[in-house]
Amino acid sequence: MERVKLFIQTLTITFITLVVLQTPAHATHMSGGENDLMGLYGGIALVLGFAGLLGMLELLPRILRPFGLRWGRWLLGGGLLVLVAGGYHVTTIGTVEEALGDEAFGRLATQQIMGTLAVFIAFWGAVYYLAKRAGVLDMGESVKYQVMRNGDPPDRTASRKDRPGEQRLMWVPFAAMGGLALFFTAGVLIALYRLPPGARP
Amino acid sequence: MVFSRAEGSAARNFFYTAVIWMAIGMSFGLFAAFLLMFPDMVKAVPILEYFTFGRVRPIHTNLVMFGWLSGAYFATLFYMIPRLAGTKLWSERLGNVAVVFHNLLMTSYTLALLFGFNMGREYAEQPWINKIGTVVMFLLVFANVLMTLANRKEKELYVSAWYMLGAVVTTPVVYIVGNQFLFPTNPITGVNDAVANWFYGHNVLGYWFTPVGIGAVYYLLPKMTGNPVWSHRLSMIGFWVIFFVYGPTGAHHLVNGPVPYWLQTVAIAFSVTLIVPVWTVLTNFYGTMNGKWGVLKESVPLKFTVSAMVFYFITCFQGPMQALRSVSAITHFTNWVVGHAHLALLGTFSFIMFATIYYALPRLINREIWSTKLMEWHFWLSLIGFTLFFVSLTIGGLVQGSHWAMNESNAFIQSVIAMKPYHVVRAIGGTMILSAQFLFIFNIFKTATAGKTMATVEVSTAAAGA
Amino acid sequence: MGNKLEKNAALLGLGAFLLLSFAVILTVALPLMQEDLYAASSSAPRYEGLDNDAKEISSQVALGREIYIREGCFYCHTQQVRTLDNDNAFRAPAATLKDGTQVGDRPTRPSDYGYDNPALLGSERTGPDLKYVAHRWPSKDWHIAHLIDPRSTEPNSIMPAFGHLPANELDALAEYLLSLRDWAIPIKSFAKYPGPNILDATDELLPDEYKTVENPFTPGDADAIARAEKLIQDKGCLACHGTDMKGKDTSNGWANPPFPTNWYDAGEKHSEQFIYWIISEGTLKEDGTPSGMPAWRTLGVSDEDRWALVTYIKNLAGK
Repeated sequence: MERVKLFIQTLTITFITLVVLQTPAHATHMSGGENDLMGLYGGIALVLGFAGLLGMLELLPRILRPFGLRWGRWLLGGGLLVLVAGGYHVTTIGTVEEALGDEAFGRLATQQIMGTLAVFIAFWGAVYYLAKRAGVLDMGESVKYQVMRNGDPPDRTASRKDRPGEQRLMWVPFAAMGGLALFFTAGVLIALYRLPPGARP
Repeated sequence: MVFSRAEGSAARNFFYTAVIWMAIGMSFGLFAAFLLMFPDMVKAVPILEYFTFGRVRPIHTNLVMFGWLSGAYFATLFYMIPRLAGTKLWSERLGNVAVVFHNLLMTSYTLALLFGFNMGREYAEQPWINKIGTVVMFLLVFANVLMTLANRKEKELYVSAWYMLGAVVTTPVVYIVGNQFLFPTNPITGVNDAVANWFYGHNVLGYWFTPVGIGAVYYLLPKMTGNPVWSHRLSMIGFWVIFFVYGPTGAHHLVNGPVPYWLQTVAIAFSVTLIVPVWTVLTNFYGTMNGKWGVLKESVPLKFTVSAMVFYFITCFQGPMQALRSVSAITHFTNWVVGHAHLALLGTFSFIMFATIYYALPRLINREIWSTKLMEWHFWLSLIGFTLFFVSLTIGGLVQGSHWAMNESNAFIQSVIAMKPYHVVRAIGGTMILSAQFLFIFNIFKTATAGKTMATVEVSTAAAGA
Repeated sequence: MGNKLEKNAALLGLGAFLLLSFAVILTVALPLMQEDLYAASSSAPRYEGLDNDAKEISSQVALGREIYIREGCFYCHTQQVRTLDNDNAFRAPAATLKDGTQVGDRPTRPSDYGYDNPALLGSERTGPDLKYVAHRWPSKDWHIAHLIDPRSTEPNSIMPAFGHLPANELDALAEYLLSLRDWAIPIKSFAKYPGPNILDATDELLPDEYKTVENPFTPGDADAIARAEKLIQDKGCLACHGTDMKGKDTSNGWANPPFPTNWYDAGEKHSEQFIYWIISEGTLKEDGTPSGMPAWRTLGVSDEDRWALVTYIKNLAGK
């Protein structure tokens, strides 16, 4: 429990720091006034929502399973809240009425707030409804075993027993993903921030 | 012979012809890469001089998307759907008609573009008659798939069948709507034309290439590792999310451009949410692989699948990120986007198809893959070549983007000069990829003509597994 | 178990179909209903009928557009100026109309594409944006020379050469490229017609704003000359003015006046202000259309750079 608390505290502090720190950089954003705070909100909502989902489906590692069952729906709800409230926040602060003298873009704050809200509510509503209808949330897993029997039998590699230490191979794709993701995230950040101040309005 | 009724013949024939279209399509791609390095390569060469970059590029994209990947996908549907449904393909003869039709259509695609009948919409370049043909081609295949599923013995649908069924139902809609309801005159004008075009251009990926590819992974992983998929429920949540989220993202190709601001915002919001289905796939991938990582040492198809998963993760991390307005400001219009597109269609879905062919083709024709060594070469050359290709385009794109962002657009040529070394590295990577594919095709050819029969091996493992 | 949908493939297919329909309604149907996305403003290029000055639009423009599509030009050239500073260089120049309306100098709007089918917004900038290319390169001769051999005007260009196209098609392509401008901005004279022989022209032609400007460099300034030499190299000036800098005329392949000037003579005869004016604003043909000399002021050559060129040319006097 202590660890979870620490984790949540760290998350909150990181979140606040990011919000506070990024304001000046993004107030002078290149795309004409609006900022990408939504990306941050979306990211947090994703992490919370996905963790909540795994918790509700009892898919977390054994040690966290009771926690997931108890708090999963709250995490998911919190994720949604961050998403909707974040969308609201972003549209209120980020919308510049008729910035750049371009009326054709329909940059009306109200339109955007309503639009964003409608999109997110419709999104989560529809997915939840369909998942519920499909019984995804309380369904058995039997079909995945039948697939092993149907069709062609498993490849001969399937009956191979792992030798000790081979599990470590899992870190190869993991490292590749991490490496590539870091590579281009750093690239984008360098490209964004090495620009001289004059390049950004 | 051509309209054979033999079981599995349609899937086999689709695999064979798809790899040939792949060789043709990728060769055009490499040719285009060389044209970027040596623009005067074809200058004043009789006949060849007509095939400048702008003519070659659409042939490459059309053939790899519709000739190779779609052809291989049709084969995958014809192979996997009957096995998931516990029955035979509804009509092998109809399947073989589809094979012949697909090949005629691809020939027509190529000729149309060679002669310059380009309709001016990206990925929808084909003249009206070929678009009608494309819909017919989809319907020929999909009717077969739907009838097979309708006659299924296995009543419960496995996640692969979900994904494939979803793709089959939605792809014709995406194609017809995105091509302006197939009116020969293209009634939608102005920026709405671009909006409709990108609805199609992006969603043909979202509703056709992604679900069938992911469905194939969900089928292959358990068969190769012997582990059932980690969580079926999670995979199905991924299914619903992907079918909901992908649709409205098309306008992220027009971010900061002359389309309504709200439309851009909607596209960005949905693009960010695309991360969810990717995470469900990757979580399931790691869960299923657990305890069986050693198989990676022995199975080339699994190596392809694992690499595809890495590239899938990267694509779908890049995608949402580059939809954001500030990132798009740097990366849009640059070679970064070219790298991204290849990451999805080559690094992910073509790699999945290589794995599928290595797994499915021996079972369809009852022959072992002729040379394991060639398989290894195919994998490593493709992987290294593609990494070179992708990394050089990504860095090059960022260089281009920052040149422009530093208000150097008025000295635009600087960004062209800066891009030159990356074009070279890209062409080297491309050459490696293409040569790997020739090894692959040779191996397939030898397998079909001189491979050892598989029956004995199959029986013994089945017995061992029982 | 609540897995009715899972067993029922038809329902599943319907679900997928409905989810896609939502996307179609949101991102295809809604924009289709937004009328301002169809409207064309007076800025939008037209391909038939009359132009803003009630002149017949040449059928070559529409033909050129077809060739532009056929040769796949839109794969490497965008036609959209985004709402970003990155794209400022691609904007049309600012202009004030007679009634005081401000036009130009803005990102593109949906109404700039009102007559376009297909809309050639493009997705990649291997080459520069072309939405307002006619403001930057107003000369048809220049466009045709550039299409035949892009390396002649820009040595580092990687654009394909289109010399294999018939002359009529090259003409049409150039006509189309010249239609790519903000149509609300009148084609105004960048410069007065300097006469069949530009060397006979005097300072009397100079517009007021060019009469009083002063060269910041001293004559023969070594830095300025080095700077000019690099510019001449980069911008390919000698493609027209001859590698010997002695200009061209009918004897060596230039069909119509005004001819590219002999720089030695120009340095001799013209004032610094006159040379600065011509470099800045380009020249016109007798019929009032732009000649091969572009307005370098609008092409990223700064004031100082242009003065350096003036210094260079003046320095050639008497050599």
